[in-house]
This record gives sequence, structure tokens and C-alpha cells, in this order.
Amino acid sequence: MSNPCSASPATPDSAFPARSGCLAVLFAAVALMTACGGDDAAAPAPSPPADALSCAAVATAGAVTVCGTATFVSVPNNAVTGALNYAAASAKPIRGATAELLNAAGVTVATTVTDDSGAYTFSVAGATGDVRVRVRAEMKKTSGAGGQWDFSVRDNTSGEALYVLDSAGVVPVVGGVVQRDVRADSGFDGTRYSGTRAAGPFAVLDVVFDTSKKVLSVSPEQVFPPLRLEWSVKNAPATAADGSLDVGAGLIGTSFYTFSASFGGHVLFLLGQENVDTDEYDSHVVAHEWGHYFQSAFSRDDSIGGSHTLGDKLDMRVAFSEGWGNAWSGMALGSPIYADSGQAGQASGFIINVAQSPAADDQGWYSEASVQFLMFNFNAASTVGFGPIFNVMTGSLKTSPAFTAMHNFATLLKAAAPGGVGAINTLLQGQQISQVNDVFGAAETNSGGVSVALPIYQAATGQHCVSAEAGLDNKLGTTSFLKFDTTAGSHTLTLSSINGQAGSDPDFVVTASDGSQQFSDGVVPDNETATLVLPAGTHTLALLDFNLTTGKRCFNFTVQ
Amino acid sequence: MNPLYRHAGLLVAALAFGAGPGCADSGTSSAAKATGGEPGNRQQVWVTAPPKPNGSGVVLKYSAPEALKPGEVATVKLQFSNVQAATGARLELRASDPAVKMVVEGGTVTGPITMVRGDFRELEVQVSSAVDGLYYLSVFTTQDGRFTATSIPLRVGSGESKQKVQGKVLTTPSGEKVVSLPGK
Repeated sequence: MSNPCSASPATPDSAFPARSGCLAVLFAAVALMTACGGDDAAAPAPSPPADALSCAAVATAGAVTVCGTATFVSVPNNAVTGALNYAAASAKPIRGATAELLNAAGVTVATTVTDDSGAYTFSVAGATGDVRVRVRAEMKKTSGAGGQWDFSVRDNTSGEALYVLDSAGVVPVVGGVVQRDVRADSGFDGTRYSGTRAAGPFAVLDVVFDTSKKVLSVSPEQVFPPLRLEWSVKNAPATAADGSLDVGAGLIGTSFYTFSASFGGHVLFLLGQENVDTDEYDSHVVAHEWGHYFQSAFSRDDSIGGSHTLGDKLDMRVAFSEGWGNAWSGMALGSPIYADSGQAGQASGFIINVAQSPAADDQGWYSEASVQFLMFNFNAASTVGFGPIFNVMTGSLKTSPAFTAMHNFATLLKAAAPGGVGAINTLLQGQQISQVNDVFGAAETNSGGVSVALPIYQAATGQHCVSAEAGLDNKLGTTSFLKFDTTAGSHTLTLSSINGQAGSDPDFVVTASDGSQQFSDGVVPDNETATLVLPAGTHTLALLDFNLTTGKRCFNFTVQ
Repeated sequence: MNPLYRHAGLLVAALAFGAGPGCADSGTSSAAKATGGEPGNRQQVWVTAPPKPNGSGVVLKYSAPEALKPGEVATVKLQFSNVQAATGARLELRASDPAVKMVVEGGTVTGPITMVRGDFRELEVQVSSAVDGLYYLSVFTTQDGRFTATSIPLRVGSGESKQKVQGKVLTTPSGEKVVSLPGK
């Protein structure tokens, strides 16, 4: 085992502050506390001998010093099949996690943060008696310079209890140093998970370390809103009999991110059902969902969600959002291979190489494969990189009157990275996407074979048609986009059916000139009217027919 | 900003256009939208299975009993659609536990099923278990090399999960609830 206290500091491009596990915080006062009715006291079994001393912690007179390294067993995906490759499992450091030293009563007597090697050192004044090390599945820094964050991995099927990894006990000596390492095992015995899957939460946390580090690399003072990552071995791709989710029972539908008051803010649910679909080791899946947290917390995402798979001709907002998620996983983890494992023994799976251009018939502004390829390669381009991408995502994209989609993003990116215009244009051209600088993509000529797809934003006058040519719900053509101008003030917007198909139900969302959005989803057949207060300028509107099932339906639009 | 990123959402459009950011506060699932009962069968609710991000893209709808009695034979109905790949799609069914007996299409189907582009396929699966518990009928669909797994809950008797608890749920002296995992 390496010497944890002589571990290398963070890499030069790391924006994380130094996290020396050798600088413990004393909790002398806490050490005097007694357990208050909790059931977290150490097991009565005698502590085993300390680990062989290899850390370089220095003994302190009058204090006990405990050092060690926290690791978890990491199982990689097969780079070709995506299946989990248990034969290649290895111990990796638990980085940036809160570590505690507990006394025999279960009271925390010292706390620190593991460093990039997983190392920690505690120093506590006076005798402590038996102690053990607890590593929390948590990265938390809520004050001070150098960024702030609060990420935790919890069990949604156990009342959202925080996962912690507990070491065996050890008996330190005043004035001496003892070592107690702790490792989270996978629980896999070669054929199945017969043991406790202790590594799972820490594998998830490891992804968060990398994704947040990527953001901090260009925004060192970033304050991340709290995010709970809910994982359980009971988390199944299932719903209750009526189709609703029951996250307390593990019926989570699929791995997903959401932000809602009912879930207590930003939360990411992850699958854990063995032999079916479990995602704790599918790091790109975790990073993909974290990418949606990033969008929600720091950017703007107009995606309407819905079913999608590579090869679909999608609503441009969905293509952008999902392409971003896939690309982000590659960008943040430093590997373009998105891998997802599952089925019996986690021995099946698939990969997506986001660095690889999709086939010609899957290229376009409506293709998530094109978006993921472009995003990944914008990041990789020496003349662009992540800094401008971050600046656009967190800046100009949020206030753009156009919906979040590739023309909008690419135009703003070229403004943010003028030295990269040539590279950006070359990449766009290679994906059959207009290179003209225009957030509305007016010069686009690629219709994807959908008759109503172009122009992407129509003028307010004339017919506005939606079509099921490429599919329903979130596919290209099911939403019609248009542009209109107003003065500042209150305006009445009306959409009315003009081709006489009974039973249409037009709804719309408006993105105002300042990027703010308003929705209208009345249930009056064939008509939608709303009075909105708008700033002056050019606004955009996305129109859908909630009842569209086939064919094409057209509407008139008026604004007064 | 639409705060809802449930990739599984079949008709998240309705949410996005419905209530804006607040729409995600319902806490109910858009991930699998119940599509209502069939005429003449008030007990039967068709559920659209949550699609997996980057998954197969095959659309699965199913109806399953809310609960079974031990030994009772019940029918799970499955519908598969949206097969677009030139190479078609593959379907496979598995029970999560040997305690579950599963018969597909009266025993005429015993292995994986293939679908060709444009296919629509319906299957009936008879399931039963003599032992109380929470079981799953797992449905795997594969298209273009990508898979989606769906677990259909089968609640038998008490319907309680027999899955082993991971770690030990504890309350710390400070009152925090934690799952203590054993380190090595």
C-alpha cells in the first residue's frame, strides 16, 4: 500500500483545494460527549491489530494519531461490450470524502477529508480508547474560498440514510501513531453479489468527484447547490401497478435526475438491481445524469424529455439536452466511451463512442448523436475547450431568446471562443448543420426529411404546422417554433386550428427576449389563448398539439 | 427552465407545457404514464414502461395485477412496438426468483423472441408463486446493440421484499440516520 501521507498533491490543473488528510480538525469538545440514545456504538468485539504502519503521520506528544487510506473496489466496463469486467476490478482511492474518527460510543471525535489518494490522518488530544474510522459517502464543503459543494450518496429505500463505510476498531496510544485502512468491497463473489455491496456508494461518489472537478477547473469558486444521489440495491427499473414511481420501495423507473420540492431539491436516482440493470459502476451513466443536474443548477435546458434513442430525429431541444448529457460524461471522465452494463451477471451491455461521428443519415441539428459528437469535440478542440463551453452554458445560453439547441449554442460558442470559429464551423459542417452565425438557424437547409421542420423558426404570420412524420411526443416536427416581436407590456397570444381536424389541443411555451419562459396549456379544443407580460424585443414560441396522433395539423398565430 | 429530466418520461411534453418549473413538484411519475383501463376491464391498467436513456428504444406497454395470492395464476400482458432497426429487435423474459413460475403464451414460447422492423407484438405471460414476496418479471429488449430492462413487480401475498438489507441502518449519537457498510 502506498504511503498516504506522502501522497502527491492535487494535479496542477486541479481546482480542488488542498485536501490533506494529514491535517485533521480537532473535535476535543465533541470527544467529551456521550452517546445520546443512539445505536451507533462500536461493536463490543476486541479491536484487531492495527495495520502495518506505512503512513508518514508524525506522532504528537499528548495526542493519539490515527492514519490510513480509504479505498473502494472499482469494477470497469468492458471497453467493447460495456459489460462489467469483474476480473479487472481494482482498489481506487475514495477522494474528497468526509472521514470521521469515532470513539467506542460512536461519537465523532475528529473529522477530516480524504485527499486525492484516499488518505486521512486524525490527531486527537488525550486518550480516546478504542476508535474506528468512518468514511461518509459525502463530499461537503459549505464555506470558504475555492468552491463549495454538498454531494451525498443515500439509500432511498432506507429513509434516505447516508451511506458510511466503517473500519474495524483500533486502539491508539497517546503519543504514538497507528494505521487503520478501510476498503469498500464490491460484494461480488465471482458469480453474484453474495456480500454487502459496500463499494457502490463510493463508486458513485467517485464520479461526482470527477464531474465537479471538471467544473471547478474553469470556475474555481463555483458554489454547487446540494445534490443527493439516491442508490439502493433495491432500485429497479420498475413502477407501481398504476405507473407511478415509489422511490421508497425502489421503484424508480430508471436512473434519472430531477429537481423538485417533493424530492427535496436536486436529486439523482440510480438503478441497483442485480442481474437486471445496476448503474453504480456505469460511471458514464452517473455522469450523464449529473450533467442534467449541471444544466438545471447552472444553465438552461428547454428539453421536454421523453423517450429517445440514437437514430431518432428529435425535437431539437431534446437532442441538445441528451447529446449534452452523453458528451458531458465523456468530457468529465476523460473517456469518450459511454458504457452501460446490465442483465444476468452484469455480463451484457453496450457502448457509445461520443468522439465518433454518427453515420450520415443520423446527422443533423435534430440528432442527439450529432450533438454529443459536437460537444465532445468542441471540448477537445485546442482552440475552444471547456472554458468557453462553460461560459456559454452558464451565461449567454440562459438569456438567449432562442430555445436551447445546437444552432443557438454554436452561435454563442463562436462568440465566446473567437479563435475556435474555424474548428467549430468545420465540425458543424461535418454534421450537416448550418454554420451561419444565427441563434435561430435561419440558414439551415437540412430538414431531416420532415416537411414542417424548416424554417426552424417561422415568422409569426402564416400557418404553423406540426406533424407526426418522424414520430410522436418529442420527435422532429411535433413542435413548431416561431418568432415574433412585441413592445414591452401585456400581450394576448392566440393559437387556433385552421385545418379543421376536430380535437386538437394546442399548447405553447414562450421564451422571451430576456430568456425567461412562460407556459400555456389550456384544454379548450382547437384553441389556446394566454395574456402574457413580455419585455420588448424578439421572442420565440414552441407550439405543440397535445392530441396529435397522426398526420399534420396547422394553426394560426396572433399576438395583440 | 424545465427542471424535469426524467428521460423515461413518455409525455413529459405535457408537463413541460403544463405548469413550468412547478410541474415537477407533483411527485408522481411521468416516467411511466398509466394510459387508462381497457374497456370492459376496470382492473386493467396499461403502463408504458420507463424507457432507458440511450436504451433500446423499443416501447413496452404492459398490464399486470396489482397483487396475487400465493398459488394464484395471473396474467401479465405485454405489448412491444417501435422496432426501427434494420436488424430488428430481441425480447427476453426472466423471473427474478426461482419461486416464480412463468409460462409465456401458453408454453409456446420458451426462449428469446425476435421482432422485425415495424413489428407490433403482444404476449401473455402466466405467472404464479406459492411463496409470499415481492418478485419481478424482468423484460429485456435489445435493438441496435442497446438494451432496456424493465422489471414488472409481482406482489404475492404480503408482497414484502426478501432482498437482503445492505449494511446496517443506524442512528448516530447526533441523530443522523446512516447505513453502516462494513469496511475491510
